[in-house]
Amino acid sequence: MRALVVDDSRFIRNYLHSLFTQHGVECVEAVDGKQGLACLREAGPFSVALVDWNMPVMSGYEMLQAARADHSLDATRIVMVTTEAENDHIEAALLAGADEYIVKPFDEGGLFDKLRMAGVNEL
Amino acid sequence: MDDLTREFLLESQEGLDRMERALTDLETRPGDAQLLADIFRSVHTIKGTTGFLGFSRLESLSHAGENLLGLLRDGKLAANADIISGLLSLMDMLRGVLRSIETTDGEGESEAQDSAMIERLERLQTGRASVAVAVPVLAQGAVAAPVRPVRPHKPRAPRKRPSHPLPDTPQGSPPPGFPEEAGPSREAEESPREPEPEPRPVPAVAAPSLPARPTSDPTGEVQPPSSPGTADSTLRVDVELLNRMMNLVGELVLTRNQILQTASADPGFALLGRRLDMVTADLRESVMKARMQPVSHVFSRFPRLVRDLALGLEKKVRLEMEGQETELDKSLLEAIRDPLTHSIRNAVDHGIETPAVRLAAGKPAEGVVRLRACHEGSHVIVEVHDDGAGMSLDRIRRKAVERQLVTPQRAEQMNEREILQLIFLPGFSTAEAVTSVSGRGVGMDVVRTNVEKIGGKVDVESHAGKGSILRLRIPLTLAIIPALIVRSRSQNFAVPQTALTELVHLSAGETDSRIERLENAALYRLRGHLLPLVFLDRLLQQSPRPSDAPCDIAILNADGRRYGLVVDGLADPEEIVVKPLAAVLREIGYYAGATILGNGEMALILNPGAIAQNANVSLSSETEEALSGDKNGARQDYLLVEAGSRRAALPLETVVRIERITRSRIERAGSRPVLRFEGALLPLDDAAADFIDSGDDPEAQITVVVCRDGRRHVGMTVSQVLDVTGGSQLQEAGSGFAAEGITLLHEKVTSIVSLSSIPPLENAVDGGPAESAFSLEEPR
Repeated sequence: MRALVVDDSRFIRNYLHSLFTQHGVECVEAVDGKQGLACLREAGPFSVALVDWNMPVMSGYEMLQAARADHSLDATRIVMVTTEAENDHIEAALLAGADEYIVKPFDEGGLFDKLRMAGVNEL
Repeated sequence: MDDLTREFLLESQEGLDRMERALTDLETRPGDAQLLADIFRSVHTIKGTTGFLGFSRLESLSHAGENLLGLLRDGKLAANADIISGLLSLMDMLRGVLRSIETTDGEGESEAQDSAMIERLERLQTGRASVAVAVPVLAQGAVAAPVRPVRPHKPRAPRKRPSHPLPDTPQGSPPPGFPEEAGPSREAEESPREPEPEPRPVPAVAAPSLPARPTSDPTGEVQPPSSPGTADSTLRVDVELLNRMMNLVGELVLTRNQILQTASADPGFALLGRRLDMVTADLRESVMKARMQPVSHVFSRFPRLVRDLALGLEKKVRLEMEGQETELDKSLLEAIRDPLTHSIRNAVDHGIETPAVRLAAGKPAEGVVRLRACHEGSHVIVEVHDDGAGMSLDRIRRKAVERQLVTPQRAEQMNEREILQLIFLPGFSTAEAVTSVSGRGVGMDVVRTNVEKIGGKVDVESHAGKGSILRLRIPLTLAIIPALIVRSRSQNFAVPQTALTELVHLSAGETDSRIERLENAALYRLRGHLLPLVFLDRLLQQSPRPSDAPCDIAILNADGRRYGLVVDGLADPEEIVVKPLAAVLREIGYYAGATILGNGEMALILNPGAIAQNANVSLSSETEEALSGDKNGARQDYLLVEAGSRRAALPLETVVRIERITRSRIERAGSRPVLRFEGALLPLDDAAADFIDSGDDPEAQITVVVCRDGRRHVGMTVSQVLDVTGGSQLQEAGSGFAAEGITLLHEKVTSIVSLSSIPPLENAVDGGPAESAFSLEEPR
């Protein structure tokens, strides 16, 4: 299975990368929403995309909207992974088509639980 | 420390560096949405990652900062000096915690400090009441965006950001297109700048309106970015590793030198040798390049420094920086950090005047400190320029006399340049200049010592009312230096050429008579000045040389001390690779390193400064020595020559060499006599002496003085070299200006040869009558 990690923090990308690789998941990384969207379209298919909210160039929320507007990407689960913890944000993301919402910080168990809840069955 | 933590520290430090730059920029552009978004993100990223590692101090600090920054970014609060100062101190604190994690693996504890900081940041948030109307940050992004409901702010609410409204269009509606193009970018205020140092090339994405995506690969094998960010085209390398590589390359250079010297007769071997030579040179250059860093690494902290200083002194100062991309060896870059910081402190504290004074002087209230870096040959020049009042020569003079660095009489006689040099004397600026800003017990002497330690030079220029310039001249690298190889009791030693000013040879009979003794000290009289002598054989307790044996004196200038080092003989100058010394040798204190010479022999590199100190060469005598030579202002040393029946003077600094040649060596280019010198043709000026065409004995000896004129060399035939002597420019009667071309030497008016009037060779080849430098001047 393949996962896309979209986050402007190198730390988060490396962290997720190491978690995924340990579980035999191929991990592709992008540094902002625009690059993330490009990866979804050009380097797919991905089982799941983990998307940060606050990023330069294009935010995760914008990326989510754009991705959900593109039906060729419907098979990819999109999970927001962010420090934004208010209900407003969660609600907005879920309405825009996010499959799950993970608040940073998270641990390995929590992450994979959430991913399974989002319907990532290959894990 | 695990890799993740290290990664976190690196990323956070980078973020804080960016934040520092952005904060100082914010001062001039307080409403800049991009800057605010940038700063917000730096802190936001730290907050977002600390939770993973359990750094609770960082988390609570960055959380408080994020709340304040969120208000600024969303335009609910306008940035002002208080807020910026608050954020800068927050940044310092975050840096402190990061440092503590780095060194002790723990965040350290300081609860009182933390809560004071958090309280301060919260207080700043409420400051928005007074600036209720926010800067219209959303200008460009707000066009098509749903109206952002600005909620009344609840004090101490956990999140201060406005909620994102739900999208107007239900999910699955027609594609809104690229948000970036469509305009309604919810985070349009976010910077388009990449947070990564090097933006990774994004797989080309066509806008949705374009039907074809030229880059789509039919096999779907578009290389996805596997690890973007720093991994793209740059790599972090441990400095230790680089040092080791540099050492190995040094070894290779030495081995190459030896191989080339053992050249075999086999032509194939010579070819291989040349190839080895080239490859080694390339490799050496690449490794040296890898050690280079742009000066912006050091410069980047100065905007903050200048800002804080100016605020504290109630001055208005703008810092302009130029040539930040100029690269310098990392170790040198570290070495100039403190001297530069001190120089900038000085420029702001002592250079730039207060706004009132500036206005009164007809200058803009805001002063400018310009920091400029550029390459000049194998050196990097860093200039600190301020447009302040310049240095007061009178004050420097007075202070130097008060501190008994010079006698009042001497101070009166000094010219402007010499007076400016006084500020570099130890003891000049330590005590008096204790303002809260500059006065830290370090003076310009420390700046000079630090810069000279790395083979650099410091120079200062000042223009009354217009400002002053401090110029640092730094070698590009320390790893390979030019050195003169000297011998003492059949051992080789390398003397760094930066310390070498001139060489004196004493032949067998002269030694006793030319070296003077005063009590126990040996002295040499160099053009009228007494120089202390250090005998290398005695210093190193080698077997003593017979007192009347011929010797060479290397005149050295190091750490403000000038002395002659007496050695048995000189070998060639060489580019040497500096090798670190074993601790045992380092402790002796006379050596700066070791090297292997081209012939395979080992040589220790002398440390001229340490030798002077150990041998008790005093500073003050040097100072007096240097100063007493120039009592009459514009004095210069001249080589006094006799050419035919005339006497003439050549500025000594232009003289490269004095050669005795046989007439047969002189060739002709057109009608001009020329001499082959170091692989180039040298135009000869013979008009005065008229040796070349008179007489026809091909074996007759002719003396040629080779001089440097700008970038070329020219030669002059002379009948005799008379003396080297100091002379002062004559004043043109009535005008008060120095007369061109004549000087007073030994009480006699003597014409100075104007080298530039010797025409270049091309003209001579044309056959035009060559004008002689001498023809214009008659003996007076």
